[in-house]
Parts: sequence; C-alpha cells; structure tokens
Amino acid sequence: MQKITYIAEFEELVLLAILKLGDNAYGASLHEALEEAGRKVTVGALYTTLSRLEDKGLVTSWMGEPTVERGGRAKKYFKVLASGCRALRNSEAARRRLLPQADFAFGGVE
Amino acid sequence: MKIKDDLEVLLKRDLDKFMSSSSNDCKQYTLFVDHDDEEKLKSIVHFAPSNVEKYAKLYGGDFERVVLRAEARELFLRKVGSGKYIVDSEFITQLEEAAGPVEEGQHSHAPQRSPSPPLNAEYILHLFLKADERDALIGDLLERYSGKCEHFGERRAKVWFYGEVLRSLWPLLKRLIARASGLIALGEWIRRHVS
Repeated sequence: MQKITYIAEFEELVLLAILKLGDNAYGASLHEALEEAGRKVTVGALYTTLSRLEDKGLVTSWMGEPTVERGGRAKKYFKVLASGCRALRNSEAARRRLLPQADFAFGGVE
Repeated sequence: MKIKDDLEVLLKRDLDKFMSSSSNDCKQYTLFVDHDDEEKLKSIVHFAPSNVEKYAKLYGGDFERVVLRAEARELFLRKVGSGKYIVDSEFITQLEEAAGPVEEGQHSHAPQRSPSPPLNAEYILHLFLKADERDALIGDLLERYSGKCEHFGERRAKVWFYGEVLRSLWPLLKRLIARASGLIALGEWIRRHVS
C-alpha cells in the first residue's frame, strides 16, 4: 500500500497552479497565476512552499536558461510528480467525504 | 591566460553597482556560454555569432556567464560553479579587438536592458535564501518588477519590490528557524546518547 502524503491548503493551490501552467511553471508565472486566482502571496512564501513540496517528493525542479530580462538569472521550473497528483486526489476525496450534502458546498445550508 | 591570473577577487558589489546603474542610454550586452561545450554558446545579444568563438577562446570557456557593458568598458564574469562574480574593466577592449568591427545587420538584435530594482532590498533577500534558489527567486522578482514598471511606473514598482521583499522575509526566516531548531534537537539527542 502506498504511503499517503498529506498536503496543506496552500500546498494544494501551488500544485494546482503548477499543473495549470504545465511546461511554463516557474516562480514568476506561479506567483502571477496565484494572484490571478485571488490568492495574494509573497515570492518568499511561494518558494518556501515549493521547497517543502520538493522535500515531500511531490514536485521536481530544474534550472532553465538565464535571460536578460531577469538580469541574466535562470528560471527554476517545477513539475508535479505522480505522488503529487495522488496527494491532490486524496485531498479532494477527503474533502468530498466530509461534505455532509451537496447543498452545503453551494451555500444552501444556513 | 591573463584574465584568469588577474581576476581572483570577489566583486559581487561591483556587479550590483553595475546592475543598478544600467540606465536607458546604456547598452548592455549579455553573452551566455555553456562551459561544457564551446559549440553550445547560448544567447547572444548584439554580438555576432561569428565572433563568439573568438570570445570563447579568449576566456578559455571557463566562465559560465559573461556580462559585457560596452559604454562603461566593464566586464563581469562568473566562474563555473562558484557563484562568484569577478570584474574586469579592461578586458572588454581585448574582446572587441578580437571580435573586430560589428558587421552590418548585427544590430537587428536590439540590446536589451535589465531591470534595476532597489539593490539593498535584493541584498537583504540574499541573506535569507538558500544558494540554489537565490538566482531563481531574485530573477522572478526582477521579472515581475519589470512588468510592474511597464504598467505602473518605476516608483510604484519599487514600492511593490520593497513590500514583496519585506513580506518575504518572515516565511524565509521561519524556515531558517525551523532548520536551526532541527539541528539543535539533533545535537541534543546525540549529546544524550553519546554521553
């Protein structure tokens, strides 16, 4: 049986943002994507979360090419691993199991 | 080779000064060199690809990043794997002489300007980051900064940059504390079990 890795709410959002951006998932694009999704976060907080996700073995990263617009600094790209997708599915399943009824999710319960 | 003997001193501050002083009328040329294979010279701005081999021969392919600024007669090099910058003010002349005159049509690659955010903010951030994420994180900030500059102007972009750096410090500091606490706990465990 595979070990279940639990993820926090912000980690979940970061994983989803990486999946959404695909091959273009690096710090600045993730930062922007999260901002557009209504989640204001600092680059520092984003990187600490990304490094935690890497430590948990949920994402992998590699360095890209340096570019002039970044002052000659390279981009660090991220990709969600299979274990990351599993963690997302587990989190989603747990949330679904805990919801008492469909109405609650859409604001039907007072 | 002369450049290797002469340039031993770490001059990161000079690079910072150089980055901050990049104004609109200063052209900056960046030459990226793959140190494993001189054939794989990556990205050339302004300088013709035909000249790259000459540059590569001059610095022996031992440097992974070279930043040239023609007007200021400055050259910045980063040694492979060292993360340190070294600077030479005269070597650019040698490079230009070796390269010869710029041929017509080579200017089609317009020189690009790198953004110049508040350097003291960048330096503060430097202190809290792991070596392997410094370039990436600061590069991301620079990229977002230049975007903000375009949309909201330099002043607001600088305010944003400062805010972003200051608010980034707490999560980075928390991570440092967590690591230090882990090490202290490990030391304590070893002390108890060894003594």
